[in-house]
Amino acid sequence: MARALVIGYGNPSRCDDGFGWKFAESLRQICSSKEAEILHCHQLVPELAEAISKARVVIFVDAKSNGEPGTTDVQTIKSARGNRSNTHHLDPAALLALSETLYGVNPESLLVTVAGKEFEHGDELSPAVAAAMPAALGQVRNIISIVCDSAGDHVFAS
Amino acid sequence: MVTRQIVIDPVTRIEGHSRITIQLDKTGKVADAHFHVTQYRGFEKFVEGRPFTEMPGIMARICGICPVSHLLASSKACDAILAVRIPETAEKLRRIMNLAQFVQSHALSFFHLSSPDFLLGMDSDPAKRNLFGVLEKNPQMAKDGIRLRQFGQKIIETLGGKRIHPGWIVPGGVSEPLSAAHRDQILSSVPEMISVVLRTLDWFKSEIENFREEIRTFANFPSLFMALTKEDEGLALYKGWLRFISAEGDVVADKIDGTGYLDYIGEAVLPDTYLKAPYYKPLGYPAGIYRVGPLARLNIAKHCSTPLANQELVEFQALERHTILSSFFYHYARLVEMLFSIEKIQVLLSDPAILSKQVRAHAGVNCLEGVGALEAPRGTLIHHYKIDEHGLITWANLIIATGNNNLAMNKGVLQAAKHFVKGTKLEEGMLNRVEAVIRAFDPCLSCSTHAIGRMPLAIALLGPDGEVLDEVGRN
Repeated sequence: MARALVIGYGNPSRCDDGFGWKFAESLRQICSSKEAEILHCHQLVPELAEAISKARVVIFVDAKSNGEPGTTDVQTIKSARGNRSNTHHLDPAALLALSETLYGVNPESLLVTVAGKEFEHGDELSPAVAAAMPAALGQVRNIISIVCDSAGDHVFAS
Repeated sequence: MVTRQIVIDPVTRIEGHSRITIQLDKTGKVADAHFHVTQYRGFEKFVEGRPFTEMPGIMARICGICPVSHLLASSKACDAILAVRIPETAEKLRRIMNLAQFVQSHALSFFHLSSPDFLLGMDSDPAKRNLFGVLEKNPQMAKDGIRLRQFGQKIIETLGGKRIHPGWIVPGGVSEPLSAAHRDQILSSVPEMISVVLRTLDWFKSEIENFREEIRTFANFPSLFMALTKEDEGLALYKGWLRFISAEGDVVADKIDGTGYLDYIGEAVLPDTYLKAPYYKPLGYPAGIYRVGPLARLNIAKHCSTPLANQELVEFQALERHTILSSFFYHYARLVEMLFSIEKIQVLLSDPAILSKQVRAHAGVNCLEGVGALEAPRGTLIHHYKIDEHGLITWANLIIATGNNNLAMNKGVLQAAKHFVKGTKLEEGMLNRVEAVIRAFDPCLSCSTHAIGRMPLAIALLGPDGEVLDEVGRN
């Protein structure tokens, strides 16, 4: 069982919205599958709840449309059903709530977001967002190392 | 005289963006109703000039929910341009992927989008009428839906290398053979999946009596039905010819193959929606209304080639003396088709030839025109391309499953609105039932307009001078 689960999500055909997707691909180059299970997907769907229930720590990676392009934000996520559960896709908090309700597991979780600039058709990140990638990868790589080195303690300050 | 209008905007728990308008007359009774799709993309136009070999990869991008169906229809059209007969193993592998697509797509529709209505009731609190409401009421059902989705997606990922937009299906066959390890991995999950669907079927059948009013009023009217069929008249999902039957079950057109569909299917363009309205040409528009998808397929099929699904088909068809006309039974038909798909996957994987390395036929351009038709989860899907001597696309026509049902969805919304909408204020149960008619068809609007985005639906009520009397929307 991987100790950390990283889920990069977004639309890789919509420029910066593909940040999470490209992040996951890059992270695979510097993380072994023993250290972390790394997934990429267009959107968060209920089936991910099972993978979440098997992880000790979950890190969601996404792009957002507000903020100075290229700025990275990291926040802890708590499980919450929210109001997006009316459709087939969920937000990170709702997905954690699903894991908790279905499988009785609510792992610690972080959401890493990078503010995007371009969301039109295209498969390239804008320069500002591309420039933010190495630092974000480094941050997440460090978190995964901490998870691997820790034994049952809380990884993130609440 | 039309005097008032209700608008439901957006429609929820479907794939894409849409709205419903309900016209009231002066006495406050429903006079007319329309389902509008408000997104547009235009794949048919922008693929012109591209090499035909790129079409499967491009067309799969029409939809993130059912890319496999577009990959398959497009590859079949390209097979026709190559004029090749693909290797037997390649055809079986393509069938398996199509069946896996049926399982994951039908599971999404039944468990994630519609089961809240069945479990919690059409009038229940909308804040709870969702996946979490299902979890509270019946956690096993929520888990079952997730397991079936995982099963279908895992097969697609195993065969195609990834869940969304796999590039494994190519003109002439598939790009890679199946390994014994992957075959065994898929087969090991089959018994559990069969038991999940059987358990759900038993439950759904026990609930049917609670939905008599919905059965009577959810797009329950005579229409033609269209689906693929084959020589033995069994349920056909990948290969066969088109057949139309009447509301009484009589065959009205048969053995429609290749470009022959052009003689039978016309496409009306409507002023208030981006969704085209195909109709049965011999009857004209709009009299040529027909339905496709699970209900149409089970009305047309004489049997299923797998034992458990065949038993369920017999029971399903016994619901009515002739064809089953209520669109509420699309849900039931989806369960039967899921069972068939899982059993059929088992049959195909149990054939030792499935591991053959001969999985692709190679050829150059041999025809300047190709048509690929198959059954997608939501109904018959047709891709039709014309190319020049250099293999570049000069013309493309797509007839999408959801589009085939456009006239029926409109008529169904009108029927439900006439029955459930009373007065000028939208009540929650009324709104949900009008939406649920659309949901029964499980439309995929990204596909049907070849469009982008989520699919909330909205409803609005307008007055005599176009004034909005009431409007309801959910995201």
